[in-house]
Amino acid sequence: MSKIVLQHITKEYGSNETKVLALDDVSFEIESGELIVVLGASGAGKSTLLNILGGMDQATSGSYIVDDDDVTKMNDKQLSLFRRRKVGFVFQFYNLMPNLTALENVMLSEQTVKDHLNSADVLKMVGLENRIHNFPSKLSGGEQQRVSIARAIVKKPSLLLCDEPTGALDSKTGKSIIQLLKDISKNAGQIVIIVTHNANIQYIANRIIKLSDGKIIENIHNYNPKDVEEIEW
Amino acid sequence: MVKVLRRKVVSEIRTSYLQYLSVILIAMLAVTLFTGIYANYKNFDDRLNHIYEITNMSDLTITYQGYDAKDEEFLKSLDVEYERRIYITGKTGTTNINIIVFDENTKMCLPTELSKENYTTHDILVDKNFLSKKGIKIGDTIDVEIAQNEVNATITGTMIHPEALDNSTYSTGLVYIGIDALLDLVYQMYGFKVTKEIVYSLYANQYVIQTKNPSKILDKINEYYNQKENNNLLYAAERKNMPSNIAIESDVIQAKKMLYVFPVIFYLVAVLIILTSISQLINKERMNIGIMKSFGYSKKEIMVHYMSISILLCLIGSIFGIILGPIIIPKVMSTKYNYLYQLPKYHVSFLRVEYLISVLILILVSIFTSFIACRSEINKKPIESLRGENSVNIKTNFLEKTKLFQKIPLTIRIALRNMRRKFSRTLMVILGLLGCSSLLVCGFGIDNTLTYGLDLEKKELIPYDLTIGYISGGSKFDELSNIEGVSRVEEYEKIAITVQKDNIISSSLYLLPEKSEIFTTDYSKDGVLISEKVADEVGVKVGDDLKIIINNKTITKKVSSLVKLCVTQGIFISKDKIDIEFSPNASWIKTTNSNVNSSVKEEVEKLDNIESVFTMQEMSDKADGVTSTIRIMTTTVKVFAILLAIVVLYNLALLNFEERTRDIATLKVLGFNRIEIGMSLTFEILTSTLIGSIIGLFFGYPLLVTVLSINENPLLTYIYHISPLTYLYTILLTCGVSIGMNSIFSVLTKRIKMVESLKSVD
Repeated sequence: MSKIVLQHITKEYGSNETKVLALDDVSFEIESGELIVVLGASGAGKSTLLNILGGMDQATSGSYIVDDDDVTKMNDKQLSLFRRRKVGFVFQFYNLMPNLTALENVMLSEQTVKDHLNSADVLKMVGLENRIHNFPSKLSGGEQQRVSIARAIVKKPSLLLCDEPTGALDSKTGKSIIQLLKDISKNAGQIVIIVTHNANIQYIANRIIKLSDGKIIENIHNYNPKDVEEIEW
Repeated sequence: MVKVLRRKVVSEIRTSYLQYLSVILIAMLAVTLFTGIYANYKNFDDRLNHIYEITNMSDLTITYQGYDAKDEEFLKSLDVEYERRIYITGKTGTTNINIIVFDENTKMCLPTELSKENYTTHDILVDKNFLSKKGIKIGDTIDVEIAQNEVNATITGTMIHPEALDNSTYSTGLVYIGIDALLDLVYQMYGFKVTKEIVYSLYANQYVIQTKNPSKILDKINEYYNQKENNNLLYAAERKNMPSNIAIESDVIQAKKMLYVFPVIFYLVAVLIILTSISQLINKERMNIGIMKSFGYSKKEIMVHYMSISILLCLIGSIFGIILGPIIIPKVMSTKYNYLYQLPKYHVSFLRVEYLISVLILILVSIFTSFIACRSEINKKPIESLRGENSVNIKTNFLEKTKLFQKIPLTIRIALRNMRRKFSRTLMVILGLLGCSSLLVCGFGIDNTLTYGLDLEKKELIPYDLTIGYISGGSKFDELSNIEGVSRVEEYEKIAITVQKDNIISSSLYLLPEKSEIFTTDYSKDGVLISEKVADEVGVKVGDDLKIIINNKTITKKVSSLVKLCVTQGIFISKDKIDIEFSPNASWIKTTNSNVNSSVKEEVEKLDNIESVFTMQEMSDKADGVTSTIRIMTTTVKVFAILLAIVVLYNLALLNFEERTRDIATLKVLGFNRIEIGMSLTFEILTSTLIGSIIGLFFGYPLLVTVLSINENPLLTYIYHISPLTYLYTILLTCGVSIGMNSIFSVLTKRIKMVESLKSVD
């Protein structure tokens, strides 16, 4: 069972007159199996939070604990291992390796950890059993995003971070992707964090964190999450 | 071009200068080589033509045996300028000399760079090189052997003569002697005075001719003599084929021929680099092209915009090339020419029209390649460009379905498919590295060839310990044999000759002992043994008849076999197989062991009438002096080869790095470390490097033969040889540059921010 704890996280960019406070005293805790939606307008600090959660960037102050390890004290090498073992990423623009097939893209992630799922099985799970030998250029946007999700979950990460996962998709495909993420959080017991500006997605989450000017303005538990089919797009 | 687009060209180059550096560099290298080699050829040609002009050099020479008044009548009928003169061979010690006699009416083939302002018919002038070679000075007296009579001639001055430009240690010296000085020498010889007319009727044997159409006149001359009943023609030749000028004239042609080797390689690589760089730019600029089209810019305007980027880059590189080429290359090459020839100083022009032609060629190449690169994108509809489609059309081939391929790590698979997908880029690297590796093999191979040839001669073909030259004839066998430490003495006679078949050349005839243990090649067969270089120059093969002219006497001998010798050149025959009185003037000595060589040398020097004594080591050092000029060239070849590899690999590494920035960022996010990411990049570059380098190894030998054949040295024969180590060094060097270049970019992966992965594709 995983747990992440953020305490008084701040992130500053620049210095003196040009100093920008991207995150200001952000604190929250997440238990495994939770599906969190982080909402906020452009410039609210969503991406900065995502970067810190994913170990892509370090906080200026505060602590970020994942399974008893303080990520804020990690060096580059440890951060690399943290991303490798604990974090799965789903990007807005999929970021698949164009020279690798769907299966190979998932295997690329599979090979980074010892304890992992079978890549072909995961692709079957996301509904791409017939497309595993296709290159990304031959897949639709939705299919590419499914490969991206498969790539993220194959290594059984504690934390699945999704950056605008439906941002480049139409409503129907977008909903199917959200459904998939929801199933993952429910069945695999992983923490799934979806960062988005699409407010409609919040209704499916267990928890909604709203950001504005780098601060958490709302941290609400949703005890009755809706089904994906019920939400407006 | 629209003003705003013009500004965009400059800002594009300014912001992405690192990417375009390779285009600038390859343009610079190509133009440097072209202009440099052209400048070298032209400067050399100008210097030669300048000396011909100031000395009023003749265009044709006829050498005859026995004066015939009809010949002069024939020459008058040809409407050419001509002079009759005395040209005889003689020797001083073992050094052969040519003697040209002048009088107050001599107007052609005049000396220059005189040690004194005016000279008269009482003067005896010698060429500067001869003077330094003999270690004598003006006012000294030398023993000269003319028609087997020895006389003492006092040198009154020095000169450079257009028929004695050859500077080599082995060349014949030239004595330019006034008619009155010759009359004095004849008085010394016979003890009575003779008139100028008598001397001319006895010794005159040449006509030097000036004409505007030498080859046509030569045909008429040959036709005239062939029809003559008593053909008294020894030979008639154009200036470029005369024994005295053939070496320098062919060096000019060789200097020109170099233009067709090196610059071609670099121009071809330039095409590939421009093609890949501009394709990359167009790919990056897709969206901007769409915007420009949607604003209403015409296809032509957009095409001109991108073409002008490549033109500007080529121009920048060319400017550096035009400056560097004519400065560096002629300077390197002139070391060789100054070593081989004595040419008066001459101010050469710095800028030539042909340089601009080389730039123009490069510009045309860049226009053409940019057109090819832009064509398809520019022909698309605006919306197609704006859509930002960057699909990678790739299919798995049968190899990828094999079990072996499935075992290859994924990062390597990425690299392999990238090579296939970006085939033109891969091809650029393969061809670039092919060029580099063949140039390196050629560069190292020239060193190997020189060392191999010299070693073969001194260790196997003529393995003497000391070589000795005598001042005057007569055997010294007994005196030499009695020296302690000498185990064997072999005497021979070296005679200056002219040989004729297809060409006429000066050479040496070696009359060897009936049996030799030092000269190891078999010369016992009937006919003559001839060194391959002389055979090539004169145009004979085994079985041909060869005309040997010794002191105006012609002997014809069959060529029995050929020998590959690196330094010693000439015709070899056993003294009992030719009708010439044997009078040894040199010998080879074997000592009991090499430690006594210097003490034996000291003892030999104490003997009378010894002109020179050299140990094998000293002769090797002397040969190294000659080859050092060629070795300078090999260093240049190697430097340019490495530069080529750097430019090509830099271009690939940079293009790859820029194109895969997003992939690298994603791999970092996925938790791959720098080494794993670097391995994928390195694998791609290293594989292309290895393929190119290995193919290049096979082109190294033909390139070596081409380079050396257009860079012949009159003093050496090249026995082509490439050591296995050369191949090893070549692969190590190319891979070294590749790994080095890649390491730089691998370090740069650290700088790629992971947030790059969050950005959209354009």
